Amino acid sequence: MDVQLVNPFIDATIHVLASLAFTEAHVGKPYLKKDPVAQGDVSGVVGLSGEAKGTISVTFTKKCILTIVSKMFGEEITEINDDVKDAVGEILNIVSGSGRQKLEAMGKPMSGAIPTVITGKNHVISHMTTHPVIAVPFHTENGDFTFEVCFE
Amino acid sequence: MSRLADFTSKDFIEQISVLNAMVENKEFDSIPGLISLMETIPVSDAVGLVIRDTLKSLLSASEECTAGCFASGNREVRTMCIEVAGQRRFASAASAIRDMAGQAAAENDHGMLFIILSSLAQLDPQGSLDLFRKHLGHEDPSIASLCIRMTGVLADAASFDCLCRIVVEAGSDENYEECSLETASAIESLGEFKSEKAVRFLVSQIHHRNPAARRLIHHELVEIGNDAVKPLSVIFSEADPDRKVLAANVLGLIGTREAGNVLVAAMDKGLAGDLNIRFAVYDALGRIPGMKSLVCLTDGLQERDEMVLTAVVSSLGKQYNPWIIDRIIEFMGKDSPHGQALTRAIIASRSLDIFEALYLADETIGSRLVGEIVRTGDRELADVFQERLKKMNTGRSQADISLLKGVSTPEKKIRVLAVDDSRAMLNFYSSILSETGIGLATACNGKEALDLLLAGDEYHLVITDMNMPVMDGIELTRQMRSQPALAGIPVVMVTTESGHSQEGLARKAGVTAFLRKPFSAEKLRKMIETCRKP
Repeated sequence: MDVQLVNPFIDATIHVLASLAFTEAHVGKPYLKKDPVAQGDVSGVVGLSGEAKGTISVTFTKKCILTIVSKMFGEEITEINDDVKDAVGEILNIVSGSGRQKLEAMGKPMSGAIPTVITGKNHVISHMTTHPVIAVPFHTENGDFTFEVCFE
Repeated sequence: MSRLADFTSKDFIEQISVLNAMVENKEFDSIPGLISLMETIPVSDAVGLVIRDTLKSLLSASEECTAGCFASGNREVRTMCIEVAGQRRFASAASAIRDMAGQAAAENDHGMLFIILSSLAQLDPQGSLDLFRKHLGHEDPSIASLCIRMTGVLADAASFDCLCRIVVEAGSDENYEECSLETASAIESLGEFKSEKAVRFLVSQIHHRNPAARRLIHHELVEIGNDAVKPLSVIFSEADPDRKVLAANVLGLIGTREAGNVLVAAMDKGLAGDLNIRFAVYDALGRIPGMKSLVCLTDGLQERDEMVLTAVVSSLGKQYNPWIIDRIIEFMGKDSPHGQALTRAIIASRSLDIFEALYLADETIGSRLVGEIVRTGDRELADVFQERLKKMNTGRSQADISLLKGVSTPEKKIRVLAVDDSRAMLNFYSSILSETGIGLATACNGKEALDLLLAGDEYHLVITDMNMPVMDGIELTRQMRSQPALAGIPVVMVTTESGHSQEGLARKAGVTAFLRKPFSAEKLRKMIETCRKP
């Protein structure tokens, strides 16, 4: 469990939300998850392999993702529809790509899979590995989301 | 600088061409101009991003220029230089970066301090050891964890006591309910030390009060492997039965001959008197192939407790050897309660090789085994044995196939989900519940159980072990209680734990009742009847 592997993804998340959705995200205290599952209303999860193997995921509350996507599209979105799911996938794709670029510069090249997006009130997603999961809570003025990283 | 004149009045394509040319021609004298542009063009602007990439590329190509920008008044530039120096291993920058750590700490700038320490971790870890030591107890979990990990990577003897203290304090009354990032990092780092002292410490914490920390400690001990065997063996001369059970589990997962020898010695010396310890030892021996294991397990056929006997047979089934068959026949020859218990255990554990050998060697025993399959009324179980009978292809086996074809699972009105990482334990549930009107599903850990529960089948009760890899029983209960669809399902926790703190944690998580191992079939049935959802 190397916290250095987490930071590039945190930076990328802040940057992506600021540039694509004009949303300022504040990072909370990272913590160790007791379990390998994440709960929320919309989640994206992507597998990584290479120097380290693992998964990253981002889980939004409904209010938070609807505000983000509304800002991205420039129109008010009120329901979690396919556009919202696509947006979550795209956000995670950029975060994954940008984070991996930084990790490569640190001498830890990785490749990423295509993100999977899951929706549903209180859904549960599982990380691929059985190793400890580091969760990083984010706060925005329109709700919270959690970023999780799990590496072998 | 001349290339950057009128930069902002150029169109996007021209701007990109200018920036690309700078990288291509290594125009280091453009760096001040790029820094000025960064101050006016934000990163959210497409060209702003390329400007930053250009600056980073130029800095990456010149150790001297990177060092020259450390004093920049622009925080973004300083951050970039520190990151580049770490990534490119610019050794001459280490000292300047270390100096910046003091200022970041004094200003309480946690973000900058983390970047500095991250960079030093790549650039000059040994030379920055003092800094890592200094921030071991930092209030920011990321900084503290990074420093804890680095002292582990460097096996820093001076930090050893501090790491141990972090793990011990995580088990105090105030802290034991949550496992912090720092605790997890300290456990991982102590695992990296690999010294005798570190292994002895981890063994001393094998029954840590926090379930997540305990799981991590077990994982480290398994990773350490043979070097952990001797310290683990000491536990068998102690009095605490819970620690002995956990030591047996870890030794089984280490899985080496040396680990097996410790388990066999514990049995031989009478250090595994408690039934739960015997269960754990036999279960662990099933993971360690070898003659000693086999002899110990064969001796275990004399065990009278049905739960322990299931562990013996399950393990023997995993490392089948023809010479054990005579011994089994010896016990099964008489139609005694012990012989019947053995018959149930062989069928419940689905030990197909043992089944085949017994079936072919002794017709009476063969009939008794087939009779047991019929008695369970379990169609899926009958299919498994039917397949094996088909392979035997004898006249008798053909007749018995016809008999098994008539087995049909009656509709079970009550469904129970049993969760345990021990296959033997799951087999035991199966043997107890097969003849009742209770349908059984099984899972190897909390996560697997949660997946099954969320798949939508209705369950009237969940029986779960406490200590399991991936997700333990307490966390499974917490997850269930947070899901409206699962919150109403009662959870019975099966445990050998004697410490009240664990029961307190489990109760807080929402466990309905506790069932202490070892337990009889009758006790389990009663517990299901009392606790199940109507």
